[in-house]
Amino acid sequence: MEDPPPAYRTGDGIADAGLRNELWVGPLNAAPWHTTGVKYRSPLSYLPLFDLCWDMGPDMMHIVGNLFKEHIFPMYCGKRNPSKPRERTTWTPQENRDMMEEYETEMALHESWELPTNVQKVLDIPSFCLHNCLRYMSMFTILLAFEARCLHLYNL
Amino acid sequence: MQVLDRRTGALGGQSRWIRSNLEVCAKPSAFVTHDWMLVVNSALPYVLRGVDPDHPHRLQSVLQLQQAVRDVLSVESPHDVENRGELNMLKLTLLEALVEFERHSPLAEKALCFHYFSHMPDFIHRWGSARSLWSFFGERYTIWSRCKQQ
Repeated sequence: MEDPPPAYRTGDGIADAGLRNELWVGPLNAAPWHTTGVKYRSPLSYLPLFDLCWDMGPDMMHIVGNLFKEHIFPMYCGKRNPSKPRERTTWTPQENRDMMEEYETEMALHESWELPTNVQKVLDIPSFCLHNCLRYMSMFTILLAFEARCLHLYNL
Repeated sequence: MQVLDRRTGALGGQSRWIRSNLEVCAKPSAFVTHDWMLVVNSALPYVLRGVDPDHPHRLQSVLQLQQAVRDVLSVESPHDVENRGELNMLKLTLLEALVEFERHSPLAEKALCFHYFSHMPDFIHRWGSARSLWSFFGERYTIWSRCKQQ
């Protein structure tokens, strides 16, 4: 059975978590921020009517840019391949082998996203069609506008 | 990659459309976010059409994600209208798109911005529309802080 979803966080709860961590006097490895993720009380929590949870909105500008510029198109270009991890001396040989296997699986998936070059030339035809279509459409629109202007000028 | 660049270049130059000489793969840094928004809003199915014939579900997941971005950019929630039901439906569509993309994408692509994206319907309900969350405040603060340093 799956765990129930965690309770919603609130602005006051985040502010209290920060305050609790600031006032913590126990061992550092048991500090509250290890469970809450909040180290300090934000100055914004003192603002009236400001909700730390809901008023720190993610901005759509960077989301749109990041999704396609940083992830999807670089994957198609083969520029998102992860670097090869180094073997860790503190790990057992089996753990290192598992890590390398996981890395190779991931690399294979990344390489399968990369577009092959032989398909690209064939698939380039639609761009030519659309480009010319747009050009002829704009020329046709100019001709129509010119004709309408002439008809208007000469009261035809 | 060349096909994507050529297609984007073929779309460029029209007025109120994608700027000319933009290449999605070779020169992605030349794109400003507004260009990405134009590409994502309308041109992406054309740019990506048939580029990955061996994995149609993978391309479908990218296009599903694009549709989710379009929906998020178009939905509004005025302060005097309660449309929580509509936004819940948007959230479901968005989550389905994210799950579908996650199913086909590598582990390294499960980045934070994808998680942020899943919260957008809640913020639209609070702030009205995605245009209210277009980073105006953050960008202006950055400019202000840089001017102050100089």
